[in-house]
Amino acid sequence: MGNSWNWKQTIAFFIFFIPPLLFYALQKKASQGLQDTILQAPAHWLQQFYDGFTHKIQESLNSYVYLIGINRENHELRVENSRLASQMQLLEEYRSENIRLRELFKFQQELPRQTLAARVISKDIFLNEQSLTIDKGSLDGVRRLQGVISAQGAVGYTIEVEERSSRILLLSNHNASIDALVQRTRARGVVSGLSPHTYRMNYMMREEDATAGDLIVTSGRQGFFPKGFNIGVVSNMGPSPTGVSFQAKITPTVKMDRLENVLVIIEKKIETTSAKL
Amino acid sequence: MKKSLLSLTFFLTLSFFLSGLQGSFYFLPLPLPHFWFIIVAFYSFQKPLLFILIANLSHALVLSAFSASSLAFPLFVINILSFSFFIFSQRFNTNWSHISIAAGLGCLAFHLLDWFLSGLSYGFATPSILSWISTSFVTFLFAPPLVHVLSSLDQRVYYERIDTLENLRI
Repeated sequence: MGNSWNWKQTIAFFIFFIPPLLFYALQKKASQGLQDTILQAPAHWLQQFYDGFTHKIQESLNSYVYLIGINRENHELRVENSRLASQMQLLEEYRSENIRLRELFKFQQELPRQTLAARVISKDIFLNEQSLTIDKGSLDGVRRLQGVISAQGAVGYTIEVEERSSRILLLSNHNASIDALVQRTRARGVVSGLSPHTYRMNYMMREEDATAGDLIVTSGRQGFFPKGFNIGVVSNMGPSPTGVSFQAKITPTVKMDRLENVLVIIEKKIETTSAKL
Repeated sequence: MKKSLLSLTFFLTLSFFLSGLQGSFYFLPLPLPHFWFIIVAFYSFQKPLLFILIANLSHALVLSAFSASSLAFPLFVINILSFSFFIFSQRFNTNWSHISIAAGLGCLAFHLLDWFLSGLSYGFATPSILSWISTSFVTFLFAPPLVHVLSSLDQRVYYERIDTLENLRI
Protein backbone atom coordinates (compact mmCIF):
# COMPACT_ATOMS: atom_id res chain seq x y z
CA MET A 1 0.00 0.00 0.00
CA GLY A 2 2.84 2.34 0.93
CA ASN A 3 4.83 1.78 -2.31
CA SER A 4 2.04 3.07 -4.54
CA TRP A 5 2.29 6.52 -2.94
CA ASN A 6 5.53 8.28 -3.79
CA TRP A 7 7.06 11.52 -2.52
CA LYS A 8 6.09 13.63 -5.53
CA GLN A 9 2.45 12.70 -5.04
CA THR A 10 2.74 13.57 -1.37
CA ILE A 11 4.18 17.00 -2.10
CA ALA A 12 1.51 17.51 -4.76
CA PHE A 13 -1.15 16.62 -2.19
CA PHE A 14 0.10 19.24 0.24
CA ILE A 15 0.49 21.91 -2.44
CA PHE A 16 -2.86 21.43 -4.16
CA PHE A 17 -5.13 20.45 -1.31
CA ILE A 18 -3.94 22.27 1.77
CA PRO A 19 -4.21 25.96 0.71
CA PRO A 20 -7.87 25.60 -0.36
CA LEU A 21 -8.56 23.73 2.85
CA LEU A 22 -6.95 26.55 4.82
CA PHE A 23 -9.18 29.15 3.18
CA TYR A 24 -12.18 26.99 3.88
CA ALA A 25 -11.05 26.46 7.47
CA LEU A 26 -11.00 30.15 8.17
CA GLN A 27 -14.57 30.61 7.06
CA LYS A 28 -17.46 30.75 9.44
CA LYS A 29 -19.38 27.53 9.99
CA ALA A 30 -22.61 29.01 8.67
CA SER A 31 -24.82 25.99 8.32
CA GLN A 32 -25.10 22.34 9.22
CA GLY A 33 -23.36 20.37 6.47
CA LEU A 34 -24.00 16.79 5.42
CA GLN A 35 -21.18 15.50 7.61
CA ASP A 36 -22.79 17.28 10.58
CA THR A 37 -26.17 15.66 10.14
CA ILE A 38 -24.60 12.21 9.78
CA LEU A 39 -22.14 12.36 12.66
CA GLN A 40 -23.67 14.80 15.08
CA ALA A 41 -26.72 12.73 15.92
CA PRO A 42 -24.59 9.82 17.30
CA ALA A 43 -22.16 12.33 18.86
CA HIS A 44 -24.97 14.10 20.72
CA TRP A 45 -26.43 10.76 21.73
CA LEU A 46 -23.03 9.74 23.11
CA GLN A 47 -22.70 13.02 25.01
CA GLN A 48 -26.12 12.51 26.59
CA PHE A 49 -25.18 8.97 27.52
CA TYR A 50 -21.97 10.17 29.19
CA ASP A 51 -23.92 12.98 30.85
CA GLY A 52 -25.96 10.35 32.70
CA PHE A 53 -23.04 9.37 34.87
CA THR A 54 -20.80 12.47 34.66
CA HIS A 55 -23.66 14.48 36.19
CA LYS A 56 -23.46 12.35 39.33
CA ILE A 57 -19.68 12.81 39.45
CA GLN A 58 -20.13 16.54 38.96
CA GLU A 59 -22.62 16.72 41.82
CA SER A 60 -20.22 14.85 44.09
CA LEU A 61 -17.35 17.15 43.10
CA ASN A 62 -19.44 20.25 43.76
CA SER A 63 -20.46 18.86 47.13
CA TYR A 64 -17.07 17.77 48.36
CA VAL A 65 -13.95 18.52 46.31
CA TYR A 66 -14.68 22.18 45.55
CA LEU A 67 -15.67 22.83 49.17
CA ILE A 68 -12.55 21.36 50.79
CA GLY A 69 -11.58 24.77 52.21
CA ILE A 70 -14.94 25.32 53.86
CA ASN A 71 -14.98 21.74 55.08
CA ARG A 72 -11.61 22.27 56.76
CA GLU A 73 -12.80 25.48 58.39
CA ASN A 74 -15.90 23.78 59.71
CA HIS A 75 -13.79 20.91 60.93
CA GLU A 76 -11.61 23.30 62.95
CA LEU A 77 -14.63 25.07 64.41
CA ARG A 78 -16.62 21.94 65.16
CA VAL A 79 -14.12 19.20 65.81
CA GLU A 80 -16.47 17.48 68.21
CA ASN A 81 -19.10 16.97 65.52
CA SER A 82 -17.48 16.15 62.17
CA ARG A 83 -20.40 14.16 60.88
CA LEU A 84 -22.72 17.12 61.36
CA ALA A 85 -20.19 19.35 59.61
CA SER A 86 -20.10 17.15 56.52
CA GLN A 87 -23.90 17.15 56.42
CA MET A 88 -23.82 20.92 56.58
CA GLN A 89 -21.48 20.91 53.61
CA LEU A 90 -24.02 19.02 51.61
CA LEU A 91 -26.85 21.29 52.74
CA GLU A 92 -24.76 24.33 51.89
CA GLU A 93 -24.26 23.05 48.35
CA TYR A 94 -27.99 22.40 47.98
CA ARG A 95 -28.70 25.89 49.33
CA SER A 96 -26.34 27.55 46.86
CA GLU A 97 -27.80 25.50 44.02
CA ASN A 98 -31.27 26.48 45.20
CA ILE A 99 -30.33 30.17 45.25
CA ARG A 100 -28.77 29.93 41.80
CA LEU A 101 -31.80 28.21 40.30
CA ARG A 102 -34.17 30.62 42.08
CA GLU A 103 -32.25 33.56 40.65
CA LEU A 104 -32.42 31.99 37.23
CA PHE A 105 -36.16 31.36 37.64
CA LYS A 106 -36.81 34.93 38.84
CA PHE A 107 -34.71 36.21 35.95
CA GLN A 108 -36.71 33.99 33.58
CA GLN A 109 -40.02 35.42 34.89
CA GLU A 110 -38.86 38.99 34.32
CA LEU A 111 -37.77 38.42 30.73
CA PRO A 112 -39.83 39.92 27.90
CA ARG A 113 -39.47 36.72 25.90
CA GLN A 114 -40.25 33.09 26.54
CA THR A 115 -37.19 31.16 27.59
CA LEU A 116 -36.26 27.55 28.11
CA ALA A 117 -33.93 26.44 30.91
CA ALA A 118 -31.19 24.05 29.81
CA ARG A 119 -28.22 22.29 31.35
CA VAL A 120 -24.72 22.23 29.90
CA ILE A 121 -23.73 18.64 29.11
CA SER A 122 -20.52 18.97 27.13
CA LYS A 123 -17.80 21.33 25.98
CA ASP A 124 -15.90 21.70 22.72
CA ILE A 125 -12.95 19.30 22.47
CA PHE A 126 -10.69 21.98 20.96
CA LEU A 127 -9.46 24.55 23.47
CA ASN A 128 -9.77 27.60 21.20
CA GLU A 129 -13.12 26.65 19.73
CA GLN A 130 -15.57 28.01 22.25
CA SER A 131 -18.82 26.06 22.15
CA LEU A 132 -21.09 24.13 24.52
CA THR A 133 -23.69 21.39 24.16
CA ILE A 134 -26.95 21.70 26.09
CA ASP A 135 -29.56 19.07 26.91
CA LYS A 136 -32.43 20.72 24.98
CA GLY A 137 -33.11 20.29 21.28
CA SER A 138 -35.70 20.66 18.54
CA LEU A 139 -38.24 18.54 20.45
CA ASP A 140 -38.14 21.18 23.23
CA GLY A 141 -38.64 24.04 20.76
CA VAL A 142 -35.02 25.04 20.18
CA ARG A 143 -34.14 26.26 16.67
CA ARG A 144 -30.94 27.48 15.01
CA LEU A 145 -29.79 31.04 15.75
CA GLN A 146 -31.66 31.52 19.02
CA GLY A 147 -29.99 33.58 21.73
CA VAL A 148 -28.69 31.91 24.89
CA ILE A 149 -28.35 33.87 28.13
CA SER A 150 -27.57 33.41 31.80
CA ALA A 151 -28.36 35.59 34.82
CA GLN A 152 -25.01 37.36 34.25
CA GLY A 153 -25.68 38.26 30.60
CA ALA A 154 -25.50 37.07 26.99
CA VAL A 155 -23.80 33.71 26.49
CA GLY A 156 -24.04 32.93 22.77
CA TYR A 157 -26.46 31.46 20.24
CA THR A 158 -27.47 28.06 18.94
CA ILE A 159 -25.76 26.86 15.75
CA GLU A 160 -26.57 23.15 15.55
CA VAL A 161 -29.78 21.58 16.76
CA GLU A 162 -30.48 17.89 17.22
CA GLU A 163 -33.68 16.38 18.61
CA ARG A 164 -32.61 16.36 22.25
CA SER A 165 -29.49 18.50 22.34
CA SER A 166 -28.03 21.63 20.74
CA ARG A 167 -24.66 23.25 20.28
CA ILE A 168 -24.15 26.84 21.36
CA LEU A 169 -21.53 29.07 19.79
CA LEU A 170 -20.23 31.14 22.71
CA LEU A 171 -19.58 34.85 22.26
CA SER A 172 -15.95 34.13 23.13
CA ASN A 173 -15.62 32.17 19.85
CA HIS A 174 -13.93 34.24 17.15
CA ASN A 175 -16.64 33.20 14.68
CA ALA A 176 -19.43 34.61 16.89
CA SER A 177 -20.57 38.21 16.43
CA ILE A 178 -23.50 40.23 17.77
CA ASP A 179 -24.70 43.81 17.48
CA ALA A 180 -24.02 45.78 20.68
CA LEU A 181 -24.30 49.17 22.38
CA VAL A 182 -22.12 51.08 24.82
CA GLN A 183 -24.62 51.68 27.62
CA ARG A 184 -23.34 55.17 28.54
CA THR A 185 -22.84 56.73 25.09
CA ARG A 186 -25.27 54.58 23.02
CA ALA A 187 -22.50 54.04 20.45
CA ARG A 188 -23.01 50.93 18.35
CA GLY A 189 -20.55 48.27 17.31
CA VAL A 190 -20.15 44.58 16.64
CA VAL A 191 -18.88 42.34 19.43
CA SER A 192 -16.94 39.19 18.53
CA GLY A 193 -14.79 36.74 20.46
CA LEU A 194 -11.04 37.22 20.69
CA SER A 195 -9.99 34.65 23.29
CA PRO A 196 -11.79 32.59 25.97
CA HIS A 197 -11.63 35.54 28.39
CA THR A 198 -11.77 38.54 26.05
CA TYR A 199 -14.20 39.96 23.50
CA ARG A 200 -13.61 42.73 21.01
CA MET A 201 -16.06 45.47 19.96
CA ASN A 202 -15.38 46.69 16.42
CA TYR A 203 -16.56 49.48 14.13
CA MET A 204 -16.96 52.34 16.63
CA MET A 205 -16.69 55.73 14.97
CA ARG A 206 -15.03 57.88 17.67
CA GLU A 207 -12.51 57.29 20.43
CA GLU A 208 -14.85 58.96 22.94
CA ASP A 209 -17.53 56.34 22.24
CA ALA A 210 -16.21 54.11 25.00
CA THR A 211 -13.74 54.29 27.86
CA ALA A 212 -12.45 51.69 30.31
CA GLY A 213 -15.20 50.61 32.68
CA ASP A 214 -18.12 51.23 30.29
CA LEU A 215 -20.75 48.51 30.17
CA ILE A 216 -21.50 46.91 26.79
CA VAL A 217 -25.04 45.59 26.27
CA THR A 218 -26.94 43.87 23.46
CA SER A 219 -28.62 46.29 21.04
CA GLY A 220 -31.62 44.07 20.30
CA ARG A 221 -31.29 44.71 16.56
CA GLN A 222 -30.00 41.28 15.64
CA GLY A 223 -33.27 39.58 16.54
CA PHE A 224 -32.27 36.71 18.75
CA PHE A 225 -31.23 38.81 21.78
CA PRO A 226 -33.52 41.32 23.51
CA LYS A 227 -32.11 44.80 24.10
CA GLY A 228 -30.08 45.50 27.21
CA PHE A 229 -28.39 42.23 28.15
CA ASN A 230 -24.94 42.61 29.64
CA ILE A 231 -22.07 41.50 27.43
CA GLY A 232 -19.01 42.82 29.22
CA VAL A 233 -17.02 45.76 30.51
CA VAL A 234 -14.56 47.75 28.38
CA SER A 235 -10.95 47.15 29.48
CA ASN A 236 -9.26 49.37 26.89
CA MET A 237 -10.02 51.34 23.76
CA GLY A 238 -7.91 52.06 20.69
CA PRO A 239 -7.84 52.43 16.90
CA SER A 240 -8.42 49.34 14.75
CA PRO A 241 -5.43 47.91 12.82
CA THR A 242 -6.69 49.55 9.60
CA GLY A 243 -7.12 52.92 11.33
CA VAL A 244 -10.59 53.41 9.87
CA SER A 245 -12.56 52.87 13.08
CA PHE A 246 -12.01 52.22 16.79
CA GLN A 247 -12.20 49.01 18.73
CA ALA A 248 -12.50 48.12 22.41
CA LYS A 249 -11.33 45.07 24.31
CA ILE A 250 -14.04 43.75 26.61
CA THR A 251 -13.93 41.60 29.72
CA PRO A 252 -17.04 39.33 29.62
CA THR A 253 -19.59 39.49 32.46
CA VAL A 254 -20.30 35.77 32.04
CA LYS A 255 -17.68 33.28 33.20
CA MET A 256 -17.97 30.86 30.29
CA ASP A 257 -15.92 28.11 31.94
CA ARG A 258 -18.28 28.02 34.95
CA LEU A 259 -21.59 27.81 33.15
CA GLU A 260 -23.87 25.02 34.38
CA ASN A 261 -27.37 26.26 33.52
CA VAL A 262 -28.46 28.60 30.72
CA LEU A 263 -31.68 29.97 29.22
CA VAL A 264 -32.50 29.69 25.51
CA ILE A 265 -34.66 32.54 24.17
CA ILE A 266 -37.17 30.56 22.16
CA GLU A 267 -39.77 33.16 21.14
CA LYS A 268 -41.34 36.54 21.86
CA LYS A 269 -43.96 36.87 24.60
CA ILE A 270 -47.26 38.58 23.83
CA GLU A 271 -46.03 42.09 24.51
CA THR A 272 -42.52 43.42 24.95
CA THR A 273 -42.74 45.80 27.88
CA SER A 274 -39.16 46.18 28.92
CA ALA A 275 -37.78 49.01 26.86
CA LYS A 276 -35.78 50.08 29.86
CA LEU A 277 -32.88 51.49 27.87
CA MET B 1 -7.13 -3.95 2.40
CA LYS B 2 -9.78 -5.54 4.58
CA LYS B 3 -7.46 -5.50 7.57
CA SER B 4 -6.54 -1.86 6.96
CA LEU B 5 -10.22 -0.96 6.85
CA LEU B 6 -10.83 -2.88 10.05
CA SER B 7 -7.89 -1.16 11.71
CA LEU B 8 -9.12 2.27 10.56
CA THR B 9 -12.62 1.57 11.86
CA PHE B 10 -11.16 0.51 15.18
CA PHE B 11 -9.08 3.72 15.52
CA LEU B 12 -12.01 5.97 14.63
CA THR B 13 -14.47 4.21 16.90
CA LEU B 14 -12.09 4.49 19.82
CA SER B 15 -11.46 8.15 19.02
CA PHE B 16 -15.22 8.79 18.82
CA PHE B 17 -15.88 7.37 22.29
CA LEU B 18 -12.83 8.99 23.91
CA SER B 19 -13.53 12.41 22.35
CA GLY B 20 -17.09 12.27 23.68
CA LEU B 21 -15.70 11.44 27.10
CA GLN B 22 -13.25 14.36 26.90
CA GLY B 23 -16.09 16.80 26.15
CA SER B 24 -18.33 15.45 28.92
CA PHE B 25 -15.76 15.78 31.69
CA TYR B 26 -15.41 19.54 31.11
CA PHE B 27 -16.23 20.31 34.76
CA LEU B 28 -13.10 18.66 36.19
CA PRO B 29 -10.58 21.13 37.63
CA LEU B 30 -7.72 19.31 35.83
CA PRO B 31 -7.07 19.44 32.08
CA LEU B 32 -8.08 16.33 30.17
CA PRO B 33 -5.77 14.67 27.65
CA HIS B 34 -6.44 14.91 23.92
CA PHE B 35 -7.00 11.18 23.44
CA TRP B 36 -7.66 11.67 19.75
CA PHE B 37 -4.20 13.14 19.28
CA ILE B 38 -2.55 10.07 20.80
CA ILE B 39 -4.42 7.96 18.24
CA VAL B 40 -3.23 10.29 15.44
CA ALA B 41 0.38 10.00 16.68
CA PHE B 42 0.06 6.21 16.90
CA TYR B 43 -1.10 5.55 13.35
CA SER B 44 1.22 8.23 11.93
CA PHE B 45 4.19 6.32 13.37
CA GLN B 46 2.96 2.84 12.52
CA LYS B 47 1.05 2.99 9.24
CA PRO B 48 1.81 3.70 5.54
CA LEU B 49 1.21 7.15 4.13
CA LEU B 50 -1.99 6.40 2.23
CA PHE B 51 -3.54 4.90 5.34
CA ILE B 52 -2.55 8.04 7.29
CA LEU B 53 -4.09 10.41 4.76
CA ILE B 54 -7.39 8.51 4.67
CA ALA B 55 -7.37 8.14 8.46
CA ASN B 56 -6.76 11.88 8.92
CA LEU B 57 -9.69 12.79 6.71
CA SER B 58 -12.02 10.38 8.52
CA HIS B 59 -10.66 11.45 11.88
CA ALA B 60 -11.32 15.14 11.17
CA LEU B 61 -14.92 14.18 10.32
CA VAL B 62 -15.30 12.40 13.64
CA LEU B 63 -13.78 15.30 15.61
CA SER B 64 -15.93 17.94 13.92
CA ALA B 65 -18.98 16.22 15.46
CA PHE B 66 -17.74 17.28 18.90
CA SER B 67 -16.70 20.80 17.99
CA ALA B 68 -17.94 24.06 16.48
CA SER B 69 -14.83 24.08 14.33
CA SER B 70 -15.15 23.66 10.56
CA LEU B 71 -14.03 20.30 9.14
CA ALA B 72 -10.99 21.66 7.34
CA PHE B 73 -9.19 23.24 10.28
CA PRO B 74 -8.46 20.02 12.23
CA LEU B 75 -7.77 18.26 8.92
CA PHE B 76 -5.21 20.87 7.94
CA VAL B 77 -3.34 20.84 11.25
CA ILE B 78 -3.57 17.07 11.75
CA ASN B 79 -2.17 16.52 8.24
CA ILE B 80 0.85 18.73 8.90
CA LEU B 81 1.68 17.10 12.25
CA SER B 82 0.87 13.61 11.06
CA PHE B 83 3.16 14.06 8.05
CA SER B 84 5.98 15.23 10.35
CA PHE B 85 5.52 12.12 12.52
CA PHE B 86 5.55 9.93 9.42
CA ILE B 87 8.85 11.41 8.17
CA PHE B 88 10.38 11.01 11.63
CA SER B 89 9.28 7.36 11.83
CA GLN B 90 10.78 6.67 8.39
CA ARG B 91 14.15 8.17 9.30
CA PHE B 92 14.64 6.71 12.80
CA ASN B 93 13.86 3.57 14.72
CA THR B 94 10.94 4.49 16.94
CA ASN B 95 9.08 2.82 19.78
CA TRP B 96 6.21 3.63 22.17
CA SER B 97 8.24 6.25 24.07
CA HIS B 98 8.76 8.26 20.86
CA ILE B 99 5.04 8.06 20.10
CA SER B 100 4.24 9.33 23.61
CA ILE B 101 6.68 12.24 23.34
CA ALA B 102 5.38 13.03 19.85
CA ALA B 103 1.80 13.02 21.17
CA GLY B 104 2.71 15.51 23.92
CA LEU B 105 4.80 17.80 21.73
CA GLY B 106 2.37 17.48 18.81
CA CYS B 107 -0.49 18.51 21.07
CA LEU B 108 1.45 21.65 22.04
CA ALA B 109 2.20 22.34 18.37
CA PHE B 110 -1.50 21.85 17.56
CA HIS B 111 -2.49 24.59 20.03
CA LEU B 112 0.26 26.84 18.75
CA LEU B 113 -0.85 26.40 15.12
CA ASP B 114 -4.47 26.89 16.13
CA TRP B 115 -3.59 30.16 17.85
CA PHE B 116 -1.38 31.32 14.98
CA LEU B 117 -3.86 30.55 12.19
CA SER B 118 -6.76 32.10 14.11
CA GLY B 119 -4.56 35.10 14.85
CA LEU B 120 -3.78 35.62 11.15
CA SER B 121 -7.45 35.89 10.41
CA TYR B 122 -9.06 37.34 13.55
CA GLY B 123 -6.20 39.12 15.33
CA PHE B 124 -3.77 37.69 17.86
CA ALA B 125 -5.10 37.15 21.36
CA THR B 126 -3.01 36.55 24.48
CA PRO B 127 -2.02 32.88 24.23
CA SER B 128 -3.08 30.55 27.06
CA ILE B 129 0.38 28.98 27.22
CA LEU B 130 -0.08 27.46 30.68
CA SER B 131 -3.29 25.75 29.60
CA TRP B 132 -1.60 24.41 26.44
CA ILE B 133 1.37 23.07 28.37
CA SER B 134 -0.79 21.39 31.01
CA THR B 135 -3.03 19.74 28.37
CA SER B 136 0.02 18.59 26.40
CA PHE B 137 1.67 17.22 29.52
CA VAL B 138 -1.45 15.28 30.53
CA THR B 139 -1.69 13.96 26.95
CA PHE B 140 1.93 12.82 27.20
CA LEU B 141 1.21 11.07 30.54
CA PHE B 142 -1.83 9.25 29.15
CA ALA B 143 -0.06 8.25 25.93
CA PRO B 144 1.93 5.13 27.03
CA PRO B 145 -1.06 3.07 28.29
CA LEU B 146 -3.22 4.07 25.33
CA VAL B 147 -0.38 3.33 22.88
CA HIS B 148 0.00 -0.13 24.43
CA VAL B 149 -3.73 -0.80 24.11
CA LEU B 150 -3.74 0.44 20.50
CA SER B 151 -0.64 -1.56 19.67
CA SER B 152 -1.89 -4.84 21.11
CA LEU B 153 -5.34 -4.52 19.51
CA ASP B 154 -3.89 -3.47 16.16
CA GLN B 155 -1.55 -6.46 16.19
CA ARG B 156 -4.52 -8.74 16.71
CA VAL B 157 -6.10 -7.34 13.59
CA TYR B 158 -2.96 -7.73 11.47
CA TYR B 159 -1.37 -10.98 12.53
CA GLU B 160 -2.59 -14.54 12.22
CA ARG B 161 -2.98 -16.65 15.31
CA ILE B 162 -0.12 -19.06 16.00
CA ASP B 163 -2.36 -22.09 16.31
CA THR B 164 -3.59 -21.44 12.75
CA LEU B 165 0.00 -21.48 11.51
CA GLU B 166 0.64 -24.69 13.40
CA ASN B 167 -2.42 -26.24 11.79
CA LEU B 168 -1.10 -25.26 8.40
CA ARG B 169 2.27 -26.84 9.22
CA ILE B 170 0.60 -30.09 10.21
